[in-house]
Parts: sequence; structure tokens; C-alpha cells
Amino acid sequence: MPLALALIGQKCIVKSFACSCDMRMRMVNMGFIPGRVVEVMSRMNGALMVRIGESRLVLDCCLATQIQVH
Amino acid sequence: MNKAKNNNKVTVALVGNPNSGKTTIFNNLTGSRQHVGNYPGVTVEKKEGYRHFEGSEFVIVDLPGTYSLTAYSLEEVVTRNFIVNDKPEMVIDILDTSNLERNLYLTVQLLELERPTILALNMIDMADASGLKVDDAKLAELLGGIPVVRTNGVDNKGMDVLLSSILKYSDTQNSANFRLNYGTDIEQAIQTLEPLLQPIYQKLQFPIRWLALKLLENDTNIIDSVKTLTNADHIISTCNELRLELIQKLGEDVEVFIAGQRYQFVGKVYQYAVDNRSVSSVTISDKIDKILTNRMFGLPIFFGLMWLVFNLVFTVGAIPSDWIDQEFGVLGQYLDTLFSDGPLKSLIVDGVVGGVGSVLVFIPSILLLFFAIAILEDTGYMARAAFIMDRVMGRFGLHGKSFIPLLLGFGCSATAMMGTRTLENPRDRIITMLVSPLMSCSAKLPVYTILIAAFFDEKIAGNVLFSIYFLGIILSLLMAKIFRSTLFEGQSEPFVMELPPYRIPTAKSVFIHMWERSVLYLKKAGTIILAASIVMWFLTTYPKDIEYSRDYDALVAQAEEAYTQQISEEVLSKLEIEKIAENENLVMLIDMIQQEEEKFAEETKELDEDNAEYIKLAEEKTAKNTVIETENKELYHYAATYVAFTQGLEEKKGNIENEKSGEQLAKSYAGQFGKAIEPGIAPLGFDWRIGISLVSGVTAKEVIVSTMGTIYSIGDGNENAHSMTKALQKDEHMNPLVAYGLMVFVLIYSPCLAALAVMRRETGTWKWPAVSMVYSTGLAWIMAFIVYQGGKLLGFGS
Repeated sequence: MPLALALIGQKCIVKSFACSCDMRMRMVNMGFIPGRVVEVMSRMNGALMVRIGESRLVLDCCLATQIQVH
Repeated sequence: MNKAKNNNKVTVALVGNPNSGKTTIFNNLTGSRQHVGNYPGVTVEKKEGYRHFEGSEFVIVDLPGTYSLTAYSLEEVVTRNFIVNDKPEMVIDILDTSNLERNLYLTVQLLELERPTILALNMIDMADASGLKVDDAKLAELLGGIPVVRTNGVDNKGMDVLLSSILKYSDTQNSANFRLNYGTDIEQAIQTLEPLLQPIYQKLQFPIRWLALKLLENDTNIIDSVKTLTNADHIISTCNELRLELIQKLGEDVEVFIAGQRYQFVGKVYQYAVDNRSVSSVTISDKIDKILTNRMFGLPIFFGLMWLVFNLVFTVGAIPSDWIDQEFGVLGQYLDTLFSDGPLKSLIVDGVVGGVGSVLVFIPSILLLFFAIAILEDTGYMARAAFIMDRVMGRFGLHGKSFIPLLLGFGCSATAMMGTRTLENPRDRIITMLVSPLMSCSAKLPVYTILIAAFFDEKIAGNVLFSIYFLGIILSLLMAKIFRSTLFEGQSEPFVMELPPYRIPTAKSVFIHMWERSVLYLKKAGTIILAASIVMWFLTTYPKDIEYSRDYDALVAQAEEAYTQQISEEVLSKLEIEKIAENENLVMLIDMIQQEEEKFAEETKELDEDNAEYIKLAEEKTAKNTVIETENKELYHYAATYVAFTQGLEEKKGNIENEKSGEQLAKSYAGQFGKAIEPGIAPLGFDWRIGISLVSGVTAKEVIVSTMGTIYSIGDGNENAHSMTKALQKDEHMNPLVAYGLMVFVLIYSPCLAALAVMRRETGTWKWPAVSMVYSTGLAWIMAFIVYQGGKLLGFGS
């Protein structure tokens, strides 16, 4: 399912990206590696605040729909 | 072994993730010995600092914060090119210890560049406090034996250890021992490529293994540099074949796989060297975020904070501003007595002191603004603000991150345009640059404050000012929407950014932050504005030999003659004396009345006539005069008549003088120009004087005030800067409606030269500065037209 649908507090595993090549590598560089655990911490008007490792990242809903997790 | 070259400079590069505390360490190491420039050809800031330590001179370079060394952002390319081409004697990798795993991901890429590297476990105190235990020796061992140092930039801990480690380890090849195994498939591909790269890798200066990896990662930047060499076709085609093979074997893109391998390795290092069992998974930052980014409270808190910033800057800032204003008035008066009349005095008192003084008055506000921004940035709130604002901004075709440059726009448009560098997509950058000048910059504030002080009641002053700022915000959002749907149709860039942990900012870093930006502003103020003030002084003072429409000298002589006659008729002949001096009692009485008048004039200098204080003082004066009158019944009438006539003469002479300098200004070069554009701005209710001020304001917005100061103070024959509001009130063209229209125009019209120049540099073409100038001036005209004509229809403006 896309990360955008994850519930607050739910821990998911990053599976794959549907976004453009550049964007995907930027996500990878910030820690979004397939296989890592991502947890949704809060939501603000569709934008997500997630925890991945010790980092807290925010991403907009458009990006969150392009990230597949399970 | 101490290999430091005693007489040579040791170049040290600081590398690290954004928010790893790199800049704090840089500031600690170098203090004020810093130099800020740009990397050649790109817009990334280059910060260099110097430090003397144990007989060696260090050149310390603060490289841009980056998560990786791929080629997906300018910062990454700048960082790796500096390390490879400039070959610093030592690379310091600064890590946020609390977020070690992600920070080590950069470390392994850094080590592959094979420069001597030291790890600095920064913010170690915070990690310790949270219960994180790092085994330094184990960490060093797993990373090929590189030195590991503990630092805490915030309280300046570990700096000496860091410096002595640099001396101890510089020139050793300590990172050459590090080799990450990427698995058989990748390693085989590297082995195939390396012999091909053997003849060329030294030319490119990159380590051979790294070069092979980057080619496999399809790094466009590296492929382009390989292509410039001879015999490159073979390498590139082999590389493409290998990549295709690998994609099939691995089932995913090579660069993602390689990144995954790196993360796996880092994960293992982290597991072995770090004990995080007693670290709570919910940090203090998370708890704070529960409140500050709460769905319900997030926005109100955000707006509340912005309101606080506003008040800090504009209300608190007014206190020292008033003080500076007074001091400059005193300085002007002092210089007035120091020089004899002539062009030099006019240049210094009217041109230089007037111009610079009106700029310096706003330094407290500017310092406070940058102070507030530094606090917002250093605490980590700025990133939350972008998160909170993303949806709001997105609705207008802007990026959540656009919020930061827009907020900086309240300080300085040029700074805001530099701030658009945080946006990766060129479209987002250009739209943000086009609309950020609508965020009213601090240089426009002087114009508002003077106009508001002159034409609006103190009680509504705050609301009037807020309405202008609010209009700017609304217009910038609307224009962003319009630009997005016309010039830049299409998808906006996805938004992702890191939220740094909340931190208590150190006084030092806030101060340096604030200082750097304020100095930037002052440099502008000190050079462009001074030059512009002098040019404006020249344009308003020359040509000198103009033909006046009336003979002003004759008018003065006429007035004096009439005065002598009146005195002789009303006073001298009635008392049957030849001169006033003949009657000693009369002279004494005149002196007494005149003293009272002078005292009254001095006390009421800064008061309006309907002011309660003024009325009280006037009553006191009348009472005193009545006392004098009862004591000198016979002579009082004549003395009072004499004083009244004398005052009348002075006033008349002053009016003639004003008319003369008014006509002189109208016929000066500036006046001629202002008159030429007057028809164009007349529908807005502006006269030629405003026209000149607005044109001069394109050089820098601060200049509008200094120009108005020059124009109006010359027009009044009065050099006291404080009387500018009074001069404006006296101007028959001005009224609250025109003043409001003028504020609207100043808010919107063309960005200053500095901002336009930055825009040119950031976009690489003059097209966008030109677009910006034309659209904003057009919009300003339309808005001011609506305000003025609409206001007149509604019956305002009388």
C-alpha cells in the first residue's frame, strides 16, 4: 500500500518507489532504503511526518502516495 | 609522528549532514576570522576561516551540508569536487551522534574518496544524556582505523583535541584501508572496469575504485567528465553493458542497490559499535512536535510566533531607533555650526548625514529581525514552519520550502532570493524569486513608519502597518498562483525535508548568524546608499544658475521695509521716540516677551497644536503674559505689538525662502525628471517629488527615505531630520489617502538593484529580473490606482 494510507503510529517497511529517478535517489540518500522501517508520526493537511531510523522527515502527500510500503 | 608542515598552511575541510552542528564547530574553530564567498560558477556559498594552533596555520573550509556524495544536488557535487580537486590535508566528518546511522552513510562515501579523514562525534553530550553509548575504538576499527574524536560544538568541547588530531594525522593515508564490499556482482563489474580506467583516472584525479562505482551508479556528472577524455567511448559502452547486466541480475537499479549495500554496512557498524538499548524511542523533540505541529494548534502557534517576531522587530526596535534618530539630529546641528555655508557643507549635512542617518535609524529593527530569524532557524522551528505551511503554500502553487525564502523576504529581498537555493526545482525557485519581493522587506519599513507617523493616528498605526504587510502576503500568494498557472504549468516538485531535533540555540551562533546578515545589509547601506544619497543630493541641488520666476531678494527687501514702517507707525511715533533702544523699560519688556515666546516654541517643537500638552503650555504662556501685562500696563501693548511684528517678518522671510528653494528644487535635474514622469503617476495622487523618490528607490529601498529627506528638508530650508514628518504634513499634495497609496506602491514596485542582481546570478539570465521589474511595477501602479481613485470615490482623501 502507499505510505500515504498508513495510520499514525503504524510501522511499515519501505518496499519501492514510483517517483522519478532523481527524486527516488534523493529519498534514498535521506534514508528511504527498501527494507527499512518507517513510522508515521503525524499528519498535517495531507503532509506526513515520518520517523526513519533516528531521522524525522516530512513529505507531502503526493510523494507519500508514490512510496509503497508493507 | 607529527607530519604537520610548520611553515605551511594546513587545509581542513568540514563535511557533514545538514543539522550535524557543522557550522557551530566551524565558528568555534575560526571565531571571527571568516571569509564568505562563492564556489566558482555555482551559487553555493563557500565559507573559509583561519585558525592558528601550535605553530600551524589552518585554513578551514565549511563545505555545504549534504546527505550523500551522489550528483543529485549542487551541494553534493561541490563537496566531492572540493575534496578531490583541492586535496585538503584533512577531512573532518562531523556527525550528529544521536542520528549516527544516517550520518555514517555519508561517512562511508567520504572514505571512498581516500583523503585522510577524522570522525568527529558531535553533540555527544546530547547522545550521552539520552543513554546512547558509542564504542569509539570499535567504530574506528570497523571503518578502517580512522581516528575518532568526541566533540560538543555547542559548549566548545573537544576543539583542541580535534586540532591536535589534525596535526597528528594529516598527510597519512588513513582512509585508504577502508573498503566496502558491495557483493560479488558489483565487485566483478568494478574489476572489469578498473583496467580500462587505469590510463585515465589520474587525469580526473578521482580514486580509481570510486570512479568505477560512480560510472556504475550512472552518475551524470562523472560520465560527462569521462566523456571529455579521448578513448572514452569504449569505457562508456562497456559501462552501459555492465549496468544492463547488473540491473537484470539484481532486479533493481544499480544506484539503489549500491545505496542499499552502504546502508546495510552502516547498519552493521552501528550494531557493533553502538549500544542504544537504553535510548527511549520517543525523544523530547517528538514530544515538543506533538504540540507545535499539532493539527489543531500548529497553525495558531505558528501565527502567534510570527506575531511575536513582528512585535519584537517593530515595537521593541522602535526604542533604540528613536535614540539614534535624536543623536543624528544633534550631529547634523553640530556639523551645521562647524562648516561655513557652501557646497561642501551642503554636501555633508544634506547629502551624507541626512542620507546615512535615515538608514542607520533602522539598524535596530534589522538586527532584531535577523535575531528572530536566527532563533527560528537554530531552534529547528523553521523546518516545522515549512511543514505546517506546505499545504497552504501548495494551494498557491508554492512549495512548503518556499516559505523560508518568503519569510526571509521580510528581512531583505536579496537574501530571500539567495534563500531559494533550498528549492531544487528551477520552476519553484523562479516563482518564489518573483513573488518574494512582495514580502515587505525591512528597507521598506522606514517609508511606512514615516508616512504612518505623519498621516495616521497613533492608535491605528499598528493596524495600518499590518494591513500593508498583509496585502503583500496576499498579493504574493495570488501572483504565485497566477505564475504557476500561466508561465509554469505542470507538476510542482515533491516536498521532502528533514526536521532537525529541537535545540537550544547558543548565544554565539545566533550572534554570528545575525551579524553576518546584518553586515551584508550594512555593506549595502554603506556603499550603494551613500553613493545614491550623494547622487541624489547633486541632482536636487544643481543646476544652481536657474532663472527664478520671481525676484525673491526683492520680496525680502520689500517685507523688511514694510516692517520698519509698521514699527515706526504703531510703536515709535506713539511713544514719541526715534528708536526702541531709547526706552529702556520697553527693551526689557520686549526681551521678556520674546524669551517667553522662544521658550514656548522650544517646548512645543515636537507637539501638534491639538495636543493636550500643547494646549497646557499655551495656557501657561498666556497666564505669564497677563502677569507681565498687569505689571506694565502702559508699555505692554507696544512691546507685544513689536514682538508680533518681528515674528511676522521672520515668518514671511521663511516663507519666501521656502518658495525659493522649492522652485530651485523643481528646476533641478531631479525636479525636471520628476516633472517628466508626473503625468504617469498623477492618477495615483503622486507629485513629482514622490516620483523622484520612487525612482531613486530602485537603487535600494532605503534610499526612498533619504531622498524624501533631502527633497523635503531642502524644500523647507530645514536640516533637522526629525521634522520630516512635519514637512510631509505641510505638503498640500499629501493626505492619508495618498500616503496609503504610496505605501502600497512602495510595497509592490520593482525590487532593488541588489535583489535584481542576485536574481540574475541565481537564474543565469537577465530575463527574470526584467520580468520581475516590469510585472511588479505594473502591479504597483494598478494597486495604487485602485487605492487612490477608489478612496476618492468613497470620499476619503480630503
